[in-house]
Amino acid sequence: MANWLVGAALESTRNRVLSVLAVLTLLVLLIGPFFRGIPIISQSFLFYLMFWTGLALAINVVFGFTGYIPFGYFAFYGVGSYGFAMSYLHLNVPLPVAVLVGGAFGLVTGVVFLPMFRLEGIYFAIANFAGAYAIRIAINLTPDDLTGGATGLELASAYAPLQSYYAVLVVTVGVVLVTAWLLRSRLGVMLMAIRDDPIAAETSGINRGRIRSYAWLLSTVFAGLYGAIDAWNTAIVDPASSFDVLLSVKPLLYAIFGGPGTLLGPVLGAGSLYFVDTLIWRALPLGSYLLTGLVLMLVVLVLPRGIIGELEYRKLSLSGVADGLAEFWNRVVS
Amino acid sequence: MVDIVSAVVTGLMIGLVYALIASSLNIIFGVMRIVNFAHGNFLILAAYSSFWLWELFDIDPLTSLVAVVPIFFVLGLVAYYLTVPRLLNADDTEMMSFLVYFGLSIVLAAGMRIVWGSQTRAIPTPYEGTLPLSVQFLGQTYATSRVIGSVVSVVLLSALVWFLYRTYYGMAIRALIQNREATKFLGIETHRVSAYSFGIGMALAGVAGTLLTLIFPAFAATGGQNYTIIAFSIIVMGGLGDPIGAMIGGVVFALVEQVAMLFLPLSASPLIAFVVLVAIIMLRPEGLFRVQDVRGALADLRGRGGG
Repeated sequence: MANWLVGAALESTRNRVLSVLAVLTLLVLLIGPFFRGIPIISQSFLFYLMFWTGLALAINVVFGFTGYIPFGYFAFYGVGSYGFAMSYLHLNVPLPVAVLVGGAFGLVTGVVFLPMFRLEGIYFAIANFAGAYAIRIAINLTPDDLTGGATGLELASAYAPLQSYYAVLVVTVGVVLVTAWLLRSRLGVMLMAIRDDPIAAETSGINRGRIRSYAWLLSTVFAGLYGAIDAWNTAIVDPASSFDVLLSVKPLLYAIFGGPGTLLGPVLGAGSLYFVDTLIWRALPLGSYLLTGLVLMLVVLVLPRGIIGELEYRKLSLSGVADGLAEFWNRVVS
Repeated sequence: MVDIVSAVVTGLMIGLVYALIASSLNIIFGVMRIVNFAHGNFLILAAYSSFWLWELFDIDPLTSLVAVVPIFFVLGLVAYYLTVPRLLNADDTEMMSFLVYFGLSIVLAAGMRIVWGSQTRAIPTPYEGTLPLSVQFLGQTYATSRVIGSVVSVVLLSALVWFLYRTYYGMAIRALIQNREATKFLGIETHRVSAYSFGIGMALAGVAGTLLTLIFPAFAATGGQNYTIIAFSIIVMGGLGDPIGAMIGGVVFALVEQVAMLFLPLSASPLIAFVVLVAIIMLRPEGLFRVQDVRGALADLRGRGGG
């Protein structure tokens, strides 16, 4: 694992630059909670920056690598939250274990949703969304002493922002590593082959259904983990906010905006849009919805390949942009 | 027994409005393969239009249609020219339009909440004084406004069927639903017909939204998504892109919903739409294949018998 990582990091100039940036970011995030007095960059800002980046990368494992749109993604976040809250309140398990229980809930729900992969395109997206919404309504109807019914559960005794901060850091590093691994591994190549040409992939001996379900389950586990950690951080779960459709839309938007099927794309997309979103949210809470919807429309209509995809399509690599700037500079100076 | 009679009659009345909602959605989907996920939000927007006309100018919902229909027709044309030409050129029109119109549905829901607040609104008994408040039928009492809403739906549904089967543009719309490419060879202006069908779909959505204020006691800014899901359940049930199937599906869906509500708690009623939708989507592809298999097998048999 370590050897593979070092090998991948040192492979090319681009990878070396990116790994240095990644290590620096990691260091900043590690000491993040101890910054004081910087306006926007508070601990909770960094927490949700990692949270949304991680969710964007996790949804990218399905959307970017297989082309399916998991519109009911919020269901896995939601069951993760509930798994965390219920195992902590009713079984008194330690909090980190409760987070893992949340991930397991995500996995189990993901298995339940697996038959939907018989469907294609829009049928899959709608069925996925409807299934997720059905779970939300069903939780409203469950007995109060188990899930809290329509009002939800309170976890005040679990509230520990510093611990949940490091938990989200660990899980986010996990998603980044998984995505980096997918981009270079056999599994990832098979996934991309299925996305680009399902029939050609199948004739080359790829078991389409099985490979796709690996990606799906990987993605749902992470959604469950994030749901659990967010429940830990906010110390409350309720059907409306744990099954908020924005939890599907925002990660999807971030991934599309940055460039689906890449590692850098979702990170850049989530980073930039979340920053803007925070500024808007301060001014007008409902504006967050408005902005998300508007940006989603514009991005899909105007920039369907995402930032990274557009750069690649126009044969502009990051180093190419640097070369272009240098040339421009030379021309201006001379 | 009495309950079931009342549930069936209520289901029929609600189902006629559902039929209107679903057939308008299905025209848009069928002609352009545009997945209008904001359909329910447009219904709510129309409901708000009627509500404000009633609140500010004392215009009753049926009269307000005179204003709502042209406004929504133009709204449809605007939405068409802003989004559809780009989407039709995309690799996967259905998925891309789904994302765009989902974005639009969020914008509309949030916008209406910001502008008009999140409380529920209602037009209580707009025809009080001119008409009796309730109607007796088979020993049961029904609200007059609900009866008016369903009667108007019947008129409009008949007009829609006449339009689709007896006029040039209606037949062009059906031709586009059947085979978009082939219509270009027939000298049909695909873009103009598509734009009109989007406008007509939206105008019908406007009518349906207005009728919702008569059929249901109240509406809220965020209620659009439920109607979208119901409408999609219906068109999946009746066949995607088939306006007539959507009409039948709408009535059947409302009947199932109303009868099921006799046996389920009230808060579980939205669950029905979702469960029906998932079940049909999951089971239908197999069912379709089975029919094709049977047809294929029969053809094989006949071929062998003849040869």
